[in-house]
Amino acid sequence: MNTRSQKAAIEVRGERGASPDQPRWARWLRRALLCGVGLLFAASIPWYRGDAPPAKLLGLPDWVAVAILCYAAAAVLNSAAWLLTDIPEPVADDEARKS
Amino acid sequence: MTFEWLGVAGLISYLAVLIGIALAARRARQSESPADHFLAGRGLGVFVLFLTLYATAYSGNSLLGYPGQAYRQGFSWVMATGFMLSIIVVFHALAPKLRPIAARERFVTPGDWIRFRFSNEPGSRALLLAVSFLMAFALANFLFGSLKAMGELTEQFTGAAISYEWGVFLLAGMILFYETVGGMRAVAWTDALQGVLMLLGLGALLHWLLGESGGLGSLTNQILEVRPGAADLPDVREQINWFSTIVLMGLASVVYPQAIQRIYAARSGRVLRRSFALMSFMPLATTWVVTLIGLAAIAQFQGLGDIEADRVMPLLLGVWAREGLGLSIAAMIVFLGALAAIMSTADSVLLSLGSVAAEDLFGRSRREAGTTRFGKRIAVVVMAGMALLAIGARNVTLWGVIELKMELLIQCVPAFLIAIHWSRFRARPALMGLIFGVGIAIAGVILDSKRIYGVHIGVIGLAVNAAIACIGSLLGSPRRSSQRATHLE
Repeated sequence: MNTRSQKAAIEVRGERGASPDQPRWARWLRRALLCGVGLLFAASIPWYRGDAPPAKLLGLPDWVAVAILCYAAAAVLNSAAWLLTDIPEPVADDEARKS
Repeated sequence: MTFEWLGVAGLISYLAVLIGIALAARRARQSESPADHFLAGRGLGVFVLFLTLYATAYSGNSLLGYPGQAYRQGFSWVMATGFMLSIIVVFHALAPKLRPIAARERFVTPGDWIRFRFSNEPGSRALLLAVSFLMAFALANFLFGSLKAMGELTEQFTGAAISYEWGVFLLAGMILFYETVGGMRAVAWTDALQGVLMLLGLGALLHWLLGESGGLGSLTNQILEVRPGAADLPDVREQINWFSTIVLMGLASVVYPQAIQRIYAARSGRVLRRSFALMSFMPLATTWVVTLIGLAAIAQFQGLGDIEADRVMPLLLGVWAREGLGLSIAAMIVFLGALAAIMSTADSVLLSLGSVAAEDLFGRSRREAGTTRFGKRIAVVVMAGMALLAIGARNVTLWGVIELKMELLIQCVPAFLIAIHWSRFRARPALMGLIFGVGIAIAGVILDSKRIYGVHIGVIGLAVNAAIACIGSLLGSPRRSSQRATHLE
């Protein structure tokens, strides 16, 4: 394997490019927020509803209102998750060698 | 002054502003290099990056196609807000890892990732060509949908003073002008203006809609009087389709070449994450609003056919504009906002197409002085071809165009999302998987079986594609794997 593909493979494994500066709590909180987003997406689809005719909620059929509320909550959690996301900037090669 | 002539005056003023921005962007350029032309010198800040991401993500398809689909489908089109949000969620799996590599390796095109990741592995060149071809097809398809939407909107708003055909040619020419003159910088700056116009326009339209109908509850009642089935709970098949559409759109959209290039073009990782944080709210501010517009049209216009349904937004604005001069001006702002949304996507798509074709498909090196010029020429040829096609194939529904594009584009996902997280992922199995996935998607379209029990054929193709690629990578030569492991450890 040539040097370039070695570097690519190492990068994929996360041995370079990951930032050690991000606190552990931030990483865990980000993961928890993303799990919350996944649950809200699952709750937005009315698979758990019975056959009862839809009532009104916030002026909309209730399953539509629930879906929109789920997406609104998911947008808030997702936005917070992005703010906690660490996207490191590349370090110049000579700096990397020093560290 | 009639609304039609107000529309013509507004259009001319808007185009004049775009010409000014293009000339300013040309003066701001730092060099003739592909990085400067296609990525604005990698210097986009939060405000411009957010607005260019926003204006690019919400296109003619969103502004005309989604209200049309809401009109056809009823309340269950609320799913559109979910799948537009899923795009920003799925970017978590790509952007944080891709961005640092792209910044360090000075990527310009999506194909640069394939070259970097798979390097000289067997099958890597064929994989690059296959991925680039699919991306170019998706971009051309996107351009077609945008040109069609521009023509429709222009004809509606100028009362046919500018016909559909002339609308397509005039606006296609304008995009070509500012894109070739100012590159990504002009595209991003015009996107910023277009994003602001779009937000203002949609806000005004929502305000009018809710005021006119007496609030959401009253709007729902009016819809149910005309079409009682519009609020029915989706059955199991529709629910599966809902989930499948979220998967299809969420995964396929993260490999949009123009979106990947905006990850490269961000000034820093910090700018990128802030822009995505803001983007999380845009499905609610945009997709949900256009869905409401389509639903409101159920009460206003009855019995529109599949093709006419894509025109519900301009039809509603026409109704609004006839209610007085003040509302005519407001309708014109909405019209310009919608037109801006469509043009901003078309220009980004065209710019991306030029770079993908020049560097990834035709293999031109970015060190060659003529590569930027070559990319511009390709853009001109493709734009001319798509403009002619948009005129010849006016009777195609916009949602039909979106689905076809996504079914194929989603097959590129393993080469990005799996390859960036799994070091054993190999080029040759990835290529085999992609070929099978595309074959399944095309067979589904030809046999008119675009969904199997609600699941999109492209999602089924992706499952087969990913399975072949992963199993093939796992079963790769043990000798090769052990050599790689030695290198990696």
